[in-house]
Amino acid sequence: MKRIALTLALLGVLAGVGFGIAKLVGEVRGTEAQRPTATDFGTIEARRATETAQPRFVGELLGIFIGPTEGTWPKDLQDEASQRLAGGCVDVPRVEAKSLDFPRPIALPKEYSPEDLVPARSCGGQVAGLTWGYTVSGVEGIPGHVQISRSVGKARTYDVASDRVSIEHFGGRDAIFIRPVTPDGLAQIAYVLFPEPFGVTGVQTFNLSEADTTVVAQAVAEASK
Amino acid sequence: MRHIPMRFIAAGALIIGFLGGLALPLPGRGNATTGDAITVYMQPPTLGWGSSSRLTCGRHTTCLSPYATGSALDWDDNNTGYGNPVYYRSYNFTSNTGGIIQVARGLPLQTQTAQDGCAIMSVWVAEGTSGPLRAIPKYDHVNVYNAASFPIWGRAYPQTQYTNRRVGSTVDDRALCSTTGSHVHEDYYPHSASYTQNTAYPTAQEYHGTSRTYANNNVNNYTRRFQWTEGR
Repeated sequence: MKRIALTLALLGVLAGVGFGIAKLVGEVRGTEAQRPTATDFGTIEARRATETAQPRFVGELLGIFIGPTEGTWPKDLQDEASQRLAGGCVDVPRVEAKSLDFPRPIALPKEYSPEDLVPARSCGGQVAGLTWGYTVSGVEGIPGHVQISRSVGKARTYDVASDRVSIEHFGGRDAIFIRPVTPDGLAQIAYVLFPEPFGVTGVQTFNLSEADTTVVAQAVAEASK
Repeated sequence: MRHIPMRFIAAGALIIGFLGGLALPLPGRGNATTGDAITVYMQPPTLGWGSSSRLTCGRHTTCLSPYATGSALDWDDNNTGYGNPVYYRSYNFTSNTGGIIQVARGLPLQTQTAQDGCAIMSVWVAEGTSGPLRAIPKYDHVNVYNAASFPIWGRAYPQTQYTNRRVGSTVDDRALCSTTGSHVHEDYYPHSASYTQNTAYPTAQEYHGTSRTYANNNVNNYTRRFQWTEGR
């Protein structure tokens, strides 16, 4: 009986050793490292639900009005936007929107790839805006995107929680900063709005961290000075 | 009881120990690594299931003269107003012959709002029930309609299993986006799945008309195809 017990104990020890060695071999082979990161939809949805339950921002900052729908804007801003669209919108060469262009190039880090430039837009015979797009590897290596615009009009339809909205300084300029819901920025949009004499310089980032959005905002501020 | 030499017991224990160790799963592996081959065939996203969706522009980047070729297709929704339904649609196949299984899950996301350009939504398609992101179909001139995640079921060929879920609504984004009328510019963001597009569709140089139709419930009319091996 004593010998059987001794044998079982020995077996247990050796099984453990075997498991440990097998695990070690697996790690050396890089089994875990090669597996892509799991994308946690549950966390993304829970964050979104928490944000949606918060009070929404409606109001004016730095001369720019923000509300979740156009119906929340002051009447004069609603009428102005309606009239612009009623006149019809068409593409025009970017050179015709030179008055909206940045005085300096946008100097983003080299990992941001510029998309092909698209024509400017003109509504009701008046230049309405110019845009720039960039792609970048974002949070968790999932594609991120940056969209920049210089457009007429001083109102925006953003449906965002009030606690995400603040006034910050980027590159020596005041701007409205609508932070991502969480600092990591996973699957979220953040906004930066600079007031301009003609309207607004706007920045949208998707799937970028708050820190990376700040880098973009600083580059845009420098380009606009 | 016959006497067994201690060295045999030790050798046996060593072998059993190694075999036991190899058989046990490694901790932290998470989602099952089945090695199943998964293929998702995207279908035209407009009009009701079983309708003939109207292609208005062949493969393009922007549907403007001189019509630079790209991967996107423009689908008219047969309606002059905005707010029309946009669907995530796909036929989904697995090499696993064990019946209908969840091969992926989808999450609709607004990736850009119309305030600074085109309104763009995408659907993140991730492996199985908890695996990594694999594919990102993309829909321009669209806002998210139903943001909840959803399962994507598949089965082995020649059986078919499809997903048909309303995820978006067309939106008027013409103020800062090059577009005319309500339609969907259907495309994708490159990610980890291997990608193939259906060469049956014309290029924009060849076709930018108003009446070429494609049944949106025919797997042969797939717009693009994503493939991956589960767990790899």
